[in-house]
Amino acid sequence: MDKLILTATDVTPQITFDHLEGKFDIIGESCMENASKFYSTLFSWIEEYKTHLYFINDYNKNKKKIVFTFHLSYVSSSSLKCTYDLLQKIEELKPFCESINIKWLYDKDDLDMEDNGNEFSTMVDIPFSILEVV
Amino acid sequence: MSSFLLFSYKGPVNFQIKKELKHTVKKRIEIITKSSLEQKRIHYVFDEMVSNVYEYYKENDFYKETTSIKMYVKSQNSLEIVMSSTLGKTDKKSFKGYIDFINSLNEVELRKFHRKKLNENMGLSDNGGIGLISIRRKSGNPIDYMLKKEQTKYVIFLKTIINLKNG
Repeated sequence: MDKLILTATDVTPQITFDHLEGKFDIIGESCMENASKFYSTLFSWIEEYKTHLYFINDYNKNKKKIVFTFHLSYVSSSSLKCTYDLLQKIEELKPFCESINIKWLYDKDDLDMEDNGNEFSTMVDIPFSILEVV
Repeated sequence: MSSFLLFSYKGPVNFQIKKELKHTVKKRIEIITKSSLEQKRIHYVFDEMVSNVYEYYKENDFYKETTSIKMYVKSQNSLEIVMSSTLGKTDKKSFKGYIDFINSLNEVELRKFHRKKLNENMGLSDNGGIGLISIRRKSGNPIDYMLKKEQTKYVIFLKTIINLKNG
């Protein structure tokens, strides 16, 4: 399967889904015109990655430890819904890896983004590390 | 600081216009508060208000309808965003009911309702009213509104007040 790399714009975040390097990052602003369309690409990739993990687990007894990093500085309400849907999608990877964690980063004093992280951490069954970036 | 008009726009709303308005508003907001978090909150409320109209127009083919947006600094402690836009005749009741409902909720209930809406399955373009909940939560105040009947539709006036702490 291919990596998914989407360069950030002023309305879309940088996406780095690189399963070979073990790097899964969503970084930047998310306030695009059609959030569902943008995020559907990510959902499809996760779905494909789930299948990929299923097959490599047959050959490799050491399952992967996966960390998804979210560092969003601005999220519109429609993107917030999609972010939650993405977290649910990530949750589906759980049976196929040794561990899965979310690193939720927020800018200094950004209480809203910290709050979003805390809220999401109670809505999906994945351990969260919520960290302020100074 | 006395009251003054910080920003005004009248015309159609689409995604490109929304982006341009956001850019202008960002510059204006910097005049009234130095706090980047406060700037972000105002920016967010403004963005959600415009997005709501834009999404609604898109769904209802209201591309040519005019929207009016004004942003007033009412005192050193508050900012008011007033917006008028078109509402289809059949949507009047549900829209009114929805705003009345979210206005009736306290902070804890709003958070709970927001979670419920995030959990709902929605269509590709349906934001399910999450934007209005976000406006209510981020502003910290009820969304004031007024409906005015025209020939085949309604004009809805929305007013949101944002309290400023670090002006």
